Amino acid sequence: MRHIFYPLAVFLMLSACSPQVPGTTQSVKNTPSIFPDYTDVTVPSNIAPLNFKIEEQGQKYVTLITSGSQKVTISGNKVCFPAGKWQKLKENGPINIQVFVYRDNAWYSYPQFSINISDQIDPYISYRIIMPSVESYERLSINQRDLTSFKEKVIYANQMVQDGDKGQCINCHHYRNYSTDNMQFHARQYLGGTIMSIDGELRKVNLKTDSTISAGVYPAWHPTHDYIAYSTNKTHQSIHSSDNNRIEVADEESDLILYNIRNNSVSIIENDKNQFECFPAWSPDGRTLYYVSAYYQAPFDSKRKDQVFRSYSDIKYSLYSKPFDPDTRTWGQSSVIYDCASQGLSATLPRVSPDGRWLMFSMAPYGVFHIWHRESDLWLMDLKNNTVRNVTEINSPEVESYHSWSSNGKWVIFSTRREDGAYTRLYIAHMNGDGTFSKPFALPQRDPDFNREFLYSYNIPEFTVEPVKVSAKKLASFIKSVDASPVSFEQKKGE
Amino acid sequence: MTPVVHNKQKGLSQKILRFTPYFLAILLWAALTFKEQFFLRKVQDLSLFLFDGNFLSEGLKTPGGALSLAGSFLTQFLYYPWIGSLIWILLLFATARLTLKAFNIPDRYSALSFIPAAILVISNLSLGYGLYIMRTPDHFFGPTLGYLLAVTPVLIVKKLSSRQGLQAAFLIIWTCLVYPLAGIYSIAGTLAAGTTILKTNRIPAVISAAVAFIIPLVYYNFYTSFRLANAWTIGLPVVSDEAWTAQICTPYYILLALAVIAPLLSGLLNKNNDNKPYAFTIQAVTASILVILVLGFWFRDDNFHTELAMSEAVDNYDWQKTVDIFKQATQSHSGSDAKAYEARTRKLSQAKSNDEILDITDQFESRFYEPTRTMVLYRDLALLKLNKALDMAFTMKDGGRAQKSRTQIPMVYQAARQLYFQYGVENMCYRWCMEDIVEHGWSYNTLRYMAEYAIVTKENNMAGKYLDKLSKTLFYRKWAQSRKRLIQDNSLINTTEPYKSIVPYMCYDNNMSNDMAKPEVHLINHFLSSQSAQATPEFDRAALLFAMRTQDITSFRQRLVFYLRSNNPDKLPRGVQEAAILYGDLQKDPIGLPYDKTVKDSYESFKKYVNSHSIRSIKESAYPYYLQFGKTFYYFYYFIRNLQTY
Repeated sequence: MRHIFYPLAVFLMLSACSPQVPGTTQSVKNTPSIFPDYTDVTVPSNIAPLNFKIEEQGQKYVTLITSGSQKVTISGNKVCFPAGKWQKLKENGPINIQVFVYRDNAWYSYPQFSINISDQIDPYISYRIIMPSVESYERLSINQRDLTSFKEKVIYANQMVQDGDKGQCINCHHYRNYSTDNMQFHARQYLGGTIMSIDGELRKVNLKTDSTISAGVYPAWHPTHDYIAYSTNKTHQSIHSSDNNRIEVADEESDLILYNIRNNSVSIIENDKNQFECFPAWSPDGRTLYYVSAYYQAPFDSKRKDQVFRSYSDIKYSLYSKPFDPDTRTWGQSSVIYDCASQGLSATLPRVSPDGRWLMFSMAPYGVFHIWHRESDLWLMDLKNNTVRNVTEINSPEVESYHSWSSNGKWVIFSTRREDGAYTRLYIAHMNGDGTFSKPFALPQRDPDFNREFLYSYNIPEFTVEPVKVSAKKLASFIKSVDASPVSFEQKKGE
Repeated sequence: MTPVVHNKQKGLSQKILRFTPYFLAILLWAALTFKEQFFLRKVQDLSLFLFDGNFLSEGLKTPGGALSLAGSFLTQFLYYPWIGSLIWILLLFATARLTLKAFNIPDRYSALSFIPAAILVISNLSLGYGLYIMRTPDHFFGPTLGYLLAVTPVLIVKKLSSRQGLQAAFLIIWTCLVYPLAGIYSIAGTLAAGTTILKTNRIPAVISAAVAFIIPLVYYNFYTSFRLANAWTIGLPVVSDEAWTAQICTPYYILLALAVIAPLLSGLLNKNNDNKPYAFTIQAVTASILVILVLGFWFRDDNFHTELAMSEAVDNYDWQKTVDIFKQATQSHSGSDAKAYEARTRKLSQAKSNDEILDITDQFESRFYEPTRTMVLYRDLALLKLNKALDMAFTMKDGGRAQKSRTQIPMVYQAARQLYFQYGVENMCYRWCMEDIVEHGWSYNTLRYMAEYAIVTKENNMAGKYLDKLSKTLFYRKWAQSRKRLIQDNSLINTTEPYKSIVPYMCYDNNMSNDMAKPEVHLINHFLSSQSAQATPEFDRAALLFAMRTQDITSFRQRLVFYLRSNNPDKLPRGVQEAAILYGDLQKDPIGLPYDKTVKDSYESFKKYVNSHSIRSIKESAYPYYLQFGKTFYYFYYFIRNLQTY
């Protein structure tokens, strides 16, 4: 009797837990409204479960998920996949999802939608967590997320060293070739310096010299040699009195420098007084440096900053490239590869795909700090034929800004404020072979409501193929115990 | 016969002593409920507790997080000050009861058990302007709960008195389990328990000291939210301005130090169980000292309390109440001003030199009442909303008395978001909400203003986000629900308060600016620099008022033209007439306006008064002139000068 009773009891319990797909239903024409919108998206085969919330009005919900021979039903308006089942669903090809909603004494069935499974993605991303404030930065951290699960860890947080009024801003984390053995970020103000891990060895340097306008700001680690290109910037912020872009961030001056890791020196790449050069990015072979630059002429006096903000909407950045021989450290002549300014547009954040063919950048009507420009979209240049297009299939009416290519060039992660116009969220899109993208999807979260409720922004998403190895404690201890060492300046421009 | 009388007296004294705490508690409750209601509501308004999983899990990411959540949970009841203060007073009684038990305080010295409660009262009620820079939303209830937690292990180790091994195990387990939840209070509890058994069971006592040192070190490795140096203090209230740290945190350190050393002192109280002849006196003296200390440290600045009351009225868009509170506050000082004047006149009559005269006027300066800039700005805002500003703003007291605190709290953390929001300078409202959130964390207040900002700028998704948060609160749920209809139908904004009285101010052309954390200066510049063709009558009225505030004749003349064009008033407001007649006369270029006879007469008598009364110094003359002409623009022009603007 016992032999029958226990299996029967377990069976009955499981049956009771597993919701039944309703028999008789009325069909609804529109795809169900879900958050995040994962309808008909393409996702990596190693991505974490795409939990979502059904936003249709109803008293009961059942979701039927099928993939090959796999079948799962989940009840409730929050559809959260058990990790094991999610794995099996992905292994069997496209995941088909059908939502049933019970309301007004009837079940309604919505059209099925699919989640397509495609190439693998780098398993880790890192980003900075920040509130969308203007000047304050009490609580900042650079975090790392395992894309195959929901695990997140802090790489470094300013609260580990801040001491009362002695605050510290952290920014611009960056890796060489998607590997974390070589990484860097800046710590500003208290105990400040550029923190680098060079083949696992920590270094803290002050990249400001008497001959450069600031310390290094936006970095680009050379893919094959021990150099990092940086912009140097005198950046200011101002507030729009009524414009819905709210904040404007602009440079009073900016140049490009090259940091030579081996001999701890910097040299000038570009420092034209009438140009704002910014956001360097290397080609995968390290023989071309891409950057953006805007022509701007005004006297270098105390009124310059105000002048910049008076004419902020006239400052337009175009795309440039500059040949480089990494072995001899010699530079060629800069040239405009896309004259955005002449079209009344302004480009920023050029990033080249790992195969060297595609150059993705952010474009808005003016300026260089597009996270505060709602009009900002992602654009793509085919470096094979220099054609340029707005990547409308992944853009939204709200801002799209910082973006990063996965190491296999199949995925792009980018920051966007499409959900609420205020908080930056991370979206991922699959790059098809022809330079088009599939519908982007929001970074999956364990709780589908998380993105709505989280009151911080994500910025600077960067892929890595491995986790950061140095611990947050070690970084904090290093930052506290070591003073930033000065760098020398190499006079000869371009060498 | 004598011993009987003595016993009767003793019995009566004991009864008095027994009921004194209850009597004082009732007084405290009444004072909190009726005198500190605005303070308590502001404490609540600047804290936050959400019934939301993500909020709770976020709160637990720091040692002491659970206690902080519990403190924040209780803080929300200060929304109704009588409930919140009742809960707090009951907790204070619990601290006394636990202190009595834990530290074996004999009944005859029971007043001593109220020392922790008194410290907690002092810490909360001496806060004053520090309220605006607290980083810990639980600061009102957290330390009280923390103290209760810190005393608990003392009671437990006493129960385990004969078993050293168990005591040691308990202290280790206690610290390990409670440190992540309560931070410093768990360590204080461990140490207090250690000192309790120091004489009898040395080994667990030594272990308690060791775990109190080691456990935070171990836990430090699991967190990234604080410095190593803070591992032993985490959980205490934190302020954003270091200059305030000592003032705000000292009571808590005293409290916890007392908990740790109390077991050592309790031995002294229990040395001889015979009736002590001085027990009653000690009780009475202790109670008196505690009451004196509480009253002495209680922050009772009138301007602070007026600001709080006005701030609440502004939050509720109750403009008449805002003005009434201001009037009431200033009128209540007319008696003390007269007395100060009388005393000063007496002193001045004995002065022998000019230097002495200046010294005396300086000394008496602070005895004459003056409102703060925040009060004046709230009042002007309310008068503008009532469309009475140009008539009445200069009939009321003016000034810029500094906050009664060692370090001035920037207005950007106190009133900026309200002023910017109401004056339609919405991006600045957003900016100072965000900066405040970064510095001091989210609060009901910042959530509301972020929602308001998003509603009035029609950022529906953003507004929805904040309203959803507020829907997860106990007391702002209904408010959030009522606002949601506005994001479903933006057209309601133009017909619903407060937006319908804000939208007319949002008629200016966009420009780039930074307020440099000085809202008043920024508002002046904002209104005076705008020359938008779409300016509304409301905007031009505000611009004219700000022009009058600058005491700059050119600005006045310029804004007057705009004002007359858009408002086309049947009758010119009295303040405008007074400014115009004065400026015209000063520049020998009369401004052709239809002046009231009363204004002309008043100005003539002002001139006559000026010519017949020699002015030794502005400070000295201010009061007698105020009595004569305090309700005119001329007085403002001549006597309210060089104000510090914030």
